[in-house]
Order: sequence, then structure tokens, then C-alpha cells
Amino acid sequence: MTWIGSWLKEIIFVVLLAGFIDLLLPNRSFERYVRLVVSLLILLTLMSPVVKLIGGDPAQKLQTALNQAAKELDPEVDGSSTHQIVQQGLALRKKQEAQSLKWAGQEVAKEMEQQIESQTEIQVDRVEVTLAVNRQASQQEDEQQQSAEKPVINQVEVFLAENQQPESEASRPNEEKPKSAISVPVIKQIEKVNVSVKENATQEAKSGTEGPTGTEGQGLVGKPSSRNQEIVNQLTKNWGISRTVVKIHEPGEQAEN
Amino acid sequence: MEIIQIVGLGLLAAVLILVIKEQKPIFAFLIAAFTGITIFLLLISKISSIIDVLEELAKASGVQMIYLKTILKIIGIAYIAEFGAQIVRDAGQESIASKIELAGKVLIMVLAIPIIGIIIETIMKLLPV
Repeated sequence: MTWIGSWLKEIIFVVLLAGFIDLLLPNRSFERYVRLVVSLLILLTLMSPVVKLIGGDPAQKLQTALNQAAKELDPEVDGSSTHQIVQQGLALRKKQEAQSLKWAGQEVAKEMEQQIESQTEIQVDRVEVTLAVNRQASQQEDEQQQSAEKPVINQVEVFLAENQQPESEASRPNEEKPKSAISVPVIKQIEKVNVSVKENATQEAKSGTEGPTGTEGQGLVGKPSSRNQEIVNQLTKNWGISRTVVKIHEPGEQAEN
Repeated sequence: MEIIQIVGLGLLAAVLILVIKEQKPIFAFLIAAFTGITIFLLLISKISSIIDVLEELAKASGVQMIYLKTILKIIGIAYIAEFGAQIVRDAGQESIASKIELAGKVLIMVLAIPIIGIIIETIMKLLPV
């Protein structure tokens, strides 16, 4: 019911104003013209629920239309149009960035798949790489570095193919061995190396050091996890990415996801 | 008390113009224009207070400001055009005065165009094509 109240308020206000300026007008010659415009305004106010129903706020429409008319009268005042153009340009740039990131991700994924298959002889179904521009880090450091934003690898998902030969766990780093030995009796099987993704570079480094003591150390149990470990090692060595961004999916796992 | 000041100013200017008109008509015209502008300037503070009150009212009642703005624009155009036209008419240039009035009327009509546009658009959408 509130809209009826506001509608009535608007009508009363506009009609009052119309009567007021009818008195204020200097002489008769303008009267007809002013009356026409004011009556149109009253008509618009009366119709405003219908206009809202059809789409759009009448007051806002009137505002934009009047701005446009003012712009036509003196073309120097066109701040809004410049603003619009700038915004469109920004939107286009974002789109382009997203597309190029996607394309680069696909290329990197292809490369990674080939490397994994050639170096570790593990059959890989597909690799998905998510790239992201490291915006947060550059904002923290300096505003000026925004132009030199670097894309970072946000997440690497390796989907393993079925029936591959189990590998030896030779490539595992030494420092993780004792911890894995401790956790052997407790946990039988952990299939995936799945660590939450951190966007920030510093956080990545931090969680990279913390990671092996926790999830990854436990993940070494059993043969599939050692294979995963090998893939993770391979990727981190070749691509210089944090261990935490690598995510390996077992073949049977896809149904769960 | 301001009405007395304004009327006094007007009377003074009228007498001066009567005196001076025979010798220097150009100065008579200047005095007339100056008096008109002075009265206008004296009124501006009053007008602004009225407009402030109207804006406050509009804000308090939640009425869209654009209606008030449009109506105020109409009054402004009408007043300024009328003022200029009368000064020019005093100078004896009837044709220029009527052109100024025409310009004022056209500018008022320009304000009507967006309103007409919105109304017609709504009606076209309402009617089945």
C-alpha cells in the first residue's frame, strides 16, 4: 500500500506546485506554454504506476532525457558520456583479460599433461589449470604496480586416467618421511591431495611450508598417494608453483564431485 | 519593509527617467535596465529561500526531485525571458523583444519533449501492436 501513498503524495505535490507557478508567471504570453508543460508533468505523475509497471522509473527516465536534452543544447557538458565510454572500455578490458587467461590456462594444462605423462609415465586423463591475476598482492604493495599485474597459477587439477601402474615413491622429499611414518598406522588411505587454494603469494608460501606436515604427509600412505606425490613434485619443480594449488583427482572420484 | 525599498527605488527611477528622457534617451534606458536588475537581485535571496523550503518539502515527503526541478526550470526560463523582453521593449525594439519571448517559449517546449516522449512510449507499450 505504500506505493499508493507515495503516488498520492507526488500528485499532490506536483499539482500544488503547478498552482503556485501559475501565480508566479510574469504575464499571459507564457501562460499557455507553461500550462502545457505543467499539465504534461501532472499527466506523467498520474501515469507513473503504469510506467513503473511497464518498466523503468519515470523520474529516472525523465532525468536521463533532460540530461540528454541539456547536452544537446550545450555540447561541452558531456561528463556522463565520457564516464560511460570509460566504463565500457573497462568492461571490455576485463572480458579480454578473462579470455586470455582462459586460453593461457588451456595451453599450460596441455603442457603439464605432456610433461607428467612423459616424465612419470602416469596416464593422465586431463589437466585443468585455473589462472588468476594476482590483484590482491599488487594492491597491497603499491597502486602503481597494477599495470604490471602478473597472472599466477591459482589451481591445478589433475584428473588421472584409469588402470595405471603403481609407481615407486622414490621422488618424495626426505623431510617428510618421518612424519609419514608416524601417521602410517592411523590412516589407511587418502586418495587425493586436496588443499584449499590461497590467492595471495605470501599466504601461498606460508601454507606451502605448513602443507607437508599435515595433509600431504598423511597423503603419502598407500601407492596411489605416492603416485600423486610424484605428480605434485613434478609440477612444483617444473612450474615453480606452490604445492597447495595442485589438486589430484582419482579416476573413480569424478562421480563424487 | 523591503517592499517599501523596492517601490521607492522604482519611483525614483521613474522620476529620473522622466527628467532625463528628453535630453539623453540612452541614459534613460540604462537607468531602466539597472533598476530592473537591482530589483531582481533584491528578490533573489527571497526566491532562494522559497526554493529551499520547497526542496525540503519534496525531500521530506519523498517526492522525486526531478519534478520540482523541471517546474523550477520552467519558472526560471519564463522569468528571465520576460525580463529581457521587457527591457528590450522599453528600448523600443519590439521585434527583438518578441524574438526573446519566442526563444523562451521554445526552451519551455524543449523541457516538454522528454515528458511527451515518456508518455508516448508508455502508451505505445500499453497498446498491443
